[in-house]
Amino acid sequence: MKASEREPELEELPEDECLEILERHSLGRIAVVVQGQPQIFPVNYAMSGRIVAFRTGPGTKLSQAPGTKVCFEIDEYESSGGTGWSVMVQGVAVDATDSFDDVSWAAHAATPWPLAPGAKPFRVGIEPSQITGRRFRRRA
Amino acid sequence: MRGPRSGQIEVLSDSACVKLLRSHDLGRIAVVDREVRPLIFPINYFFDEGVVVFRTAPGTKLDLAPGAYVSFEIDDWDPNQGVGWSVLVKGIAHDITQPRGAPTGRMRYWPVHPVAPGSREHWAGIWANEITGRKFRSDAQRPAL
Repeated sequence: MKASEREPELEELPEDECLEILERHSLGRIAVVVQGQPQIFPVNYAMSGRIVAFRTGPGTKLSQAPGTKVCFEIDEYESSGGTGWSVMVQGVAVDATDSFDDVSWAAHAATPWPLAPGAKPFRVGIEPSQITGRRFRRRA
Repeated sequence: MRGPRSGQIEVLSDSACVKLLRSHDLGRIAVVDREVRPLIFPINYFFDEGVVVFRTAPGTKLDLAPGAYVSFEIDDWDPNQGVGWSVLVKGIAHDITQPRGAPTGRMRYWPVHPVAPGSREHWAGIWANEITGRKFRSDAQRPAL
């Protein structure tokens, strides 16, 4: 195979492929900004169209995320094959628990399944403004 | 594996968090851009002396991280054991590409091995202000769909 025909080492993923990857997974991380500093929390999520939905208990995510710009990310690295990818969803978080706007309806249609213990009676949806992803092969 | 009982969350000790940070090399950094939007990027890192060191190329991380409050996180979920954990490091990032003294000079020799392609000639460190971690054993049985 000629060098020019090789797959690129780092490729940007189109949004539809990012959404397919998001659909196939259920564990990601959300970043919220608290007093100027970002904080990262792992969450189990489910997709509802382009909306990322998760459940949470009372705490930082619920008190800080709704109405603010957040980031959601999933990634994977396969050390045997030397390939990795990451998908990032940027958007605004919505407390969907008792709301009936479009994002909240979508968030209610999703079925996130939290693995971590504790009551998580609140539902949050992330309405994306941008969904980006990249895939790479390990440097030679 | 020892750990919390099913359905319980255990707060990890400082030493347990440090041990986890030292035994992994892939995590995620969150930075905040000028429109107060958080961004998350996976990074390969090395942790020692309370500092998460990583390498990067010119771009968003290098533009936003140095001098800023950032966060760094690692986590894992073992579906066989039903055990999950996460460690969060909050701190301030500094560009250490040009070492300003013996400690930062030494960090340039730490084994940071980015797996993603591309030249990553810039070095940066996250000086931890706070390290917290938690571990849980899940009692959640997902119903068959």
